[in-house]
Amino acid sequence: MDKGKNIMQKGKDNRVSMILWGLYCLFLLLSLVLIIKICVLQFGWEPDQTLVRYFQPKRYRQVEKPERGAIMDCNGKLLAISIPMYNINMDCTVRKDEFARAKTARRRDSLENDWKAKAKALSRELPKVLAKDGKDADYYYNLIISNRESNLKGRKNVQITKNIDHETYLKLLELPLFNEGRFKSGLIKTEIDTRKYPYGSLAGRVIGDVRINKEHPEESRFLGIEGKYDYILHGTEGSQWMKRTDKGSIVDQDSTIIEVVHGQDIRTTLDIDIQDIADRALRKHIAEDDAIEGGCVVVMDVKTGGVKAMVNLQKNSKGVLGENYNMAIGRPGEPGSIFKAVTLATLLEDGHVTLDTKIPTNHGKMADLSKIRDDQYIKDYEKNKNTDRISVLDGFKISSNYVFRRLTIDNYQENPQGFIHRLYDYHLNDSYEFDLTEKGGTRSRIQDSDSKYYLASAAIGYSIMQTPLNMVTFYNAIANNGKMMKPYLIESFEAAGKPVMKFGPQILSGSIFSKATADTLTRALKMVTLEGTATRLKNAKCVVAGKTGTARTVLSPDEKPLKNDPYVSENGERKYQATFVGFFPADEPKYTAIVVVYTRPTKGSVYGGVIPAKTFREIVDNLWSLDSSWGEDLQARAKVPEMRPEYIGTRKGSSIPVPDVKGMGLKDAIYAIENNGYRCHYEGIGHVVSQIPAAGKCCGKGEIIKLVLR
Amino acid sequence: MKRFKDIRWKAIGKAIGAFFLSLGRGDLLLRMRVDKALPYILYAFLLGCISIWMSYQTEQTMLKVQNNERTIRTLKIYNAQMTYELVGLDRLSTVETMLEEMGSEVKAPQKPADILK
Repeated sequence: MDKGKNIMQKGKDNRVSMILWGLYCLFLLLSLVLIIKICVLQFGWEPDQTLVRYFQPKRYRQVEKPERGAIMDCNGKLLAISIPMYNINMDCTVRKDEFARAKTARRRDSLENDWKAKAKALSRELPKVLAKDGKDADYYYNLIISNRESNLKGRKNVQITKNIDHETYLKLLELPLFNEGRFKSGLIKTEIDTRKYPYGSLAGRVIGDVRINKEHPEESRFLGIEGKYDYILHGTEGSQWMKRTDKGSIVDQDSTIIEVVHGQDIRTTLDIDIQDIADRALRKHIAEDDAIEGGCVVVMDVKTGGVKAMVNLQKNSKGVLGENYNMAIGRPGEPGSIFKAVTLATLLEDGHVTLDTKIPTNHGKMADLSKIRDDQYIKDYEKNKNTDRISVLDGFKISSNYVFRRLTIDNYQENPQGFIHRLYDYHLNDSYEFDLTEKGGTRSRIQDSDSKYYLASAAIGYSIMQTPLNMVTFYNAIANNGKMMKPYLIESFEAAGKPVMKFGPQILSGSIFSKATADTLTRALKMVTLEGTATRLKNAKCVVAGKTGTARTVLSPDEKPLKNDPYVSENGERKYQATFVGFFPADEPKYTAIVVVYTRPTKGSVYGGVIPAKTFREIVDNLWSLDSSWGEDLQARAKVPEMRPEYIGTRKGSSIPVPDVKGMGLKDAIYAIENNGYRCHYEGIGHVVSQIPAAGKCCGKGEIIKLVLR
Repeated sequence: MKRFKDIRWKAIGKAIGAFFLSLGRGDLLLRMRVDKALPYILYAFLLGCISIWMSYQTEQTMLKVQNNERTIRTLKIYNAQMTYELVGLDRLSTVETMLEEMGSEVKAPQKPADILK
């Protein structure tokens, strides 16, 4: 019995073991097949190369372009900024081949019609977003469909619009079809880094621009700050290797990464408000006079020599004013009577005269220099004052050529180099290594001549060439008690808002003349505006010390000058350079400025005491009104509550109480209320005396708080 | 050096036979005493898993970084665009013109602001 049981048990075990053995053999076989397959794949199989790229993470080099630095004025206001603009094109044949591969004609037509319906919806929306292009829905639909159905070469890259900003681009992405992504809509976006100037052409020539001509690099244009400091603004390109994953591209950390270095920002000394005032004043006064070719204004900070405004306006062939050439630094000319301040400074400094020194009027005739014409102003002076002697101050006030020629000849004919060397001491032969250069511009020049005629000519601002920048720098030294500051335009290079390299004021000469000479010159210059040739500035909002100058300009060969007189054309026309240069307020100078106006050949006359003086007056009046440092001091009679941190919380929930704004000024009150999510209505002026609802009450978001100010 | 005919072919044959027999019986690893190294094998396996998981997580983080960078760039462009538009309105003459067009009586100041002491 037991034996039988054992046999049965043994038979049962054998059967189980056979099944397990069978299963084991099956898995073993499968594993062997797998191993063989792996070996075959590994060593004996060559994949289809067209498919490989879809199964392997693709690596590609991504170049990161640097952001071009911004240009700012002295207060951080942006003068130039880089913004990407977009050109939008479309591959009108997108998915056409894919639809054509559909199994049935019905399916094929259905897919194609669906796409066209979306294209129609897109065409209806495009005119709304691209209103500036002035195209209608039919135009866009025909454009898309005709290119989809044609075999034209450019059908895969049809221009929809160009030069749109980021906001418009984002709106386009939300339109039907375009919102399905580029692979389904055929949207092709090209980003173009564009330089934008928020103030338009204001200070255009100073800010400048860069235009690269890749085909002819020698024709590339580098102008103004943009051009000269391109190497600072541009930055350095970076690159990194990217690898594609299922969900997007990521940086391949194992590869070489070259970090992009963004361009640095440039902070200038320009004050865009002053630039605007000067630009507007000059435009207003030169626009209507056809005889005027253009003009320039430079406003300089007395203490530092920083250029606060540099306006250069020239009329084009249609008479439209534009910033075409930097005349302030690139157009030296004979300065005329404004140079008499230089002569007077030299005479005073060498102790040859005082303002009260008198000389014989001699009917304005230079007896020893027969070629020089008589001075009509002296004849008028003799007649009006009934005198035959004139003081240096009176000569300066009426801008007498005779007086300054006579004084220079009398005091320097034995030692002409004494006079010339003084001019060098005043840095009138320098370009100051100024932060800008003008293409084709020349620098100021002083001749090294001992001729008596040269002396007589130089004394009144002829036979020497000076840029407006040179003259304003000299007058700035008078305002600065003899200390000559180097004119400069670049304050600092900055990165992420922090200065990387600072420049700042530099002294050209600690004292080009004594303080006494500077004081005497200031007195003389004040008299010019009060009683002399610049009485248009007499009632300016602050006292101005300055000098007018009207110089004839040598005509170019095209303008057909006379052979014996290069200042007069064959038909009797003359060209003028009229100037006013000075500083204000005269007793405590803050700004020095120069206004120069250039004429075309004209039979009329343009004087420094007219258009330049009027322009200067407008600049002075506007600047004076804007500068609170010249305001009157008011003694406070009550205390205004200070803003407390709890008033300026940002609303996050619905339970922010109405802040207590009683006693506050309107600006603070609105700030506190609106930061808490309420809106504000007010009446009256002064300080808040009551508010509804009362402080501490919780109201709904956007509810109106009424304020009464008294 | 042993000559070719002296090699114990029989023993080698037996060993190979035993190997396949053991493989067939399914106790090869036990015969090789691999069970003693099992904790180390499991540990190595665990390390491998952790390594794969970390690599995956790193990739996810990198993707987030890339996406965030794209978002930041978009916001920077938007900011630059808005700044540009706002700055243009800040010009003195533009403000005056706008006030004039709106019929406002507000004009540019005629005298400097008084300073409250």
